[in-house]
Amino acid sequence: MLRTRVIPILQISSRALVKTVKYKNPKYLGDPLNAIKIFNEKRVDELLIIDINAAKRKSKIDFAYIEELCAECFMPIGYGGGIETMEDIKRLFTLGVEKIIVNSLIYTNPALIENAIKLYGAQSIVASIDINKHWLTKKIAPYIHSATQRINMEVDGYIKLCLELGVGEIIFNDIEREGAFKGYDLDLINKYIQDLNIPTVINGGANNFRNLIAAKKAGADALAAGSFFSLQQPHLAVLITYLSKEEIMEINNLNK
Amino acid sequence: MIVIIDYGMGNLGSIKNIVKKAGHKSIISKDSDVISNASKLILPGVGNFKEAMNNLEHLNLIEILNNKVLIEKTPILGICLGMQLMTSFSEEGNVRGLDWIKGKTTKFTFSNQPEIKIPHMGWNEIIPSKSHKINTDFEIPSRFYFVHSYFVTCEDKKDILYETDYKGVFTSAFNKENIYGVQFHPEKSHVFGLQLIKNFIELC
Repeated sequence: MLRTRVIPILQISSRALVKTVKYKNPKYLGDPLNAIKIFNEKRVDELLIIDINAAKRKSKIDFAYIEELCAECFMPIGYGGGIETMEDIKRLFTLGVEKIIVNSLIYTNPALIENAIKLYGAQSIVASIDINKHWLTKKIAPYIHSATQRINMEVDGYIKLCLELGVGEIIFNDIEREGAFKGYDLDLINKYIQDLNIPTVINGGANNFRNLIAAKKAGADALAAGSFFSLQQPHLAVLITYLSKEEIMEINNLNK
Repeated sequence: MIVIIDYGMGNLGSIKNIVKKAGHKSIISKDSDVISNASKLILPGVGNFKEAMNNLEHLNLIEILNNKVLIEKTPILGICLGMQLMTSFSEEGNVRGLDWIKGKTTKFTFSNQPEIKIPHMGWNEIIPSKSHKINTDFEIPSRFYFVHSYFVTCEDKKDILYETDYKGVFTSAFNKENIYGVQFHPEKSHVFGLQLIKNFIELC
């Protein structure tokens, strides 16, 4: 029986492990390599590494560092941040990344995504959709550029675009809850995620194990979290952690 | 020397990493002399079957590999697409494979169960179909990372090494003499994959 993937997300910035709240105010957590070593020991299902600064940097992707991180990862790795060309995608695959995570690129250069899927297969290209609420109207919409720019599309239209491009998987990032320990938004899962026929990942808000179970029951295929696996509530001390064996068993029993 | 065959299909760095973690050296190469002198071969692969066969052909590797594997009996491990290439035929492009293992590669279909997603992606358990030295010191149950839309069916059931359940049982590894194929990615499967790679290198 296929297990439910539970995926820690590592945000990196200038070779440091950081954690944001609503993609803002990165807090320094430590050395990404140490976190990876702990996640190896805990045998995590998968890791997503997001360089939150790459898009803004002149030099873009820090290939040498990604290679260093990948050499320590004995689990599947997804990477996102600063990807602009087919050459970038090719290099990332060569140095040990399994999945390329694209976000703003879906909107700015969909043709590149289509071509990458033709070359490397759908399973290797993951769409990351940032969903945020308008500050005034409270209406939700897809955002790009680290959730700073709202795009002129509805959420379901944007999902449809991703499906048409042929991505193998979609990660939904709930910006309103990112780093906020408010629990996953089950309505979001019910409304947009549960009926999709490709693998889906929910991210944003995880705050306790029951909430992970609820998100799985609501119809998310995989559960991702950053703060929940790196900061301890309520004082937010740094603690790299993962589900216990019993919790993993409970979550996988839902698939039976 | 352990040689990881570089034919332009896949994640070779990760495989070199896990071989190193298992305590051995390897080289990534498409050079026929290097491949001819290998003590063990690893045939990785991510991507399209037809393109992979074309690449092997254009690099003039098929004859060298046939000689190494079928005549010299050098142990070889095919991973994911690398496993599928060892079969006689694939639906992906309707092309012949290397034909070292009698069997075919076909796509998962769950036409009456649309809720079952393709690719089969994530961690799943293996059930060994026979006792074999490559299973030495395996944790029970052992689980591995899979990502594939096509799967192998062996003509000779004796070749089946592991099976895995994805809404029905399929062959997740095969073995015949010196030929090994695994559908999953041992290089991305923590200690489970490390043990398998170590066993392949040291015991097979």
